[in-house]
Amino acid sequence: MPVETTLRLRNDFGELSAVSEATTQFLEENLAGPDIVFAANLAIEELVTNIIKYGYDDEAAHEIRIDLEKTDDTLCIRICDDGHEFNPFDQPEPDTSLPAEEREIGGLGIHFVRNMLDSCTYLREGNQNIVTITKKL
Amino acid sequence: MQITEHHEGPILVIAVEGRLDHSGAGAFQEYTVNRIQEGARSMVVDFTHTTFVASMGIRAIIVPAQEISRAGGRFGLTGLSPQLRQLFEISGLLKVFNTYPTLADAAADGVWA
Repeated sequence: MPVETTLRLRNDFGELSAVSEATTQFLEENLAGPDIVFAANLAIEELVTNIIKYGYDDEAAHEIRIDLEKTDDTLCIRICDDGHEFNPFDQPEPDTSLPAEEREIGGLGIHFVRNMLDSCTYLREGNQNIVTITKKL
Repeated sequence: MQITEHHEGPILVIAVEGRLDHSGAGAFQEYTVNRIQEGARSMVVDFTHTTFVASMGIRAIIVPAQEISRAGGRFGLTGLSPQLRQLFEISGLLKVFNTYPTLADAAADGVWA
């Protein structure tokens, strides 16, 4: 049976740990394995960190909404924010064959999300960025 | 995140408990780099009790690894969960770091000064 929950946070790094705890609790209660819990936490941490760092053109408080839905065979995570239009998956892949000291700063987090999750899509709807990622269970 | 340390023979073992994420990365980097500046040349980071590492955490591991290497020392990792190992692998860093299944395996490696 599908189960779902919605988490809301402000654009404040201090709120990320509570979101991670809530995500972990929701997934563990619904019998997701450690690989799924890790991938979900990674995707949320990387994408929300990017939104808080780069997403806004003002200093105001903004709400970021995270919908988690788990069916028998798929976990779906949807992250919505009202920052400026930004597609995190429309960025060049980092060159991971370069020595660590020659790497570009940034890009590694999204590279992780692309590689650890099964699908990543981006939509702009009204003033909302909507990122949807899925992981097969 | 909590950082503890102990010695295993010649190795300074830095154990990370909890989440090495955006909020913990800076503290981890500062702690390890300080130890190297104080003279540590054989360092292994133990991830046995680390529940989560984000990209900021991976970057924070690269810094002391480079620092100790420049100083002529050696840096290693142990206690990687399958998920963490996968993260290092997709970062292209698994081949760069010395990794050991357990601390005992690290200590048994004859390379430490």
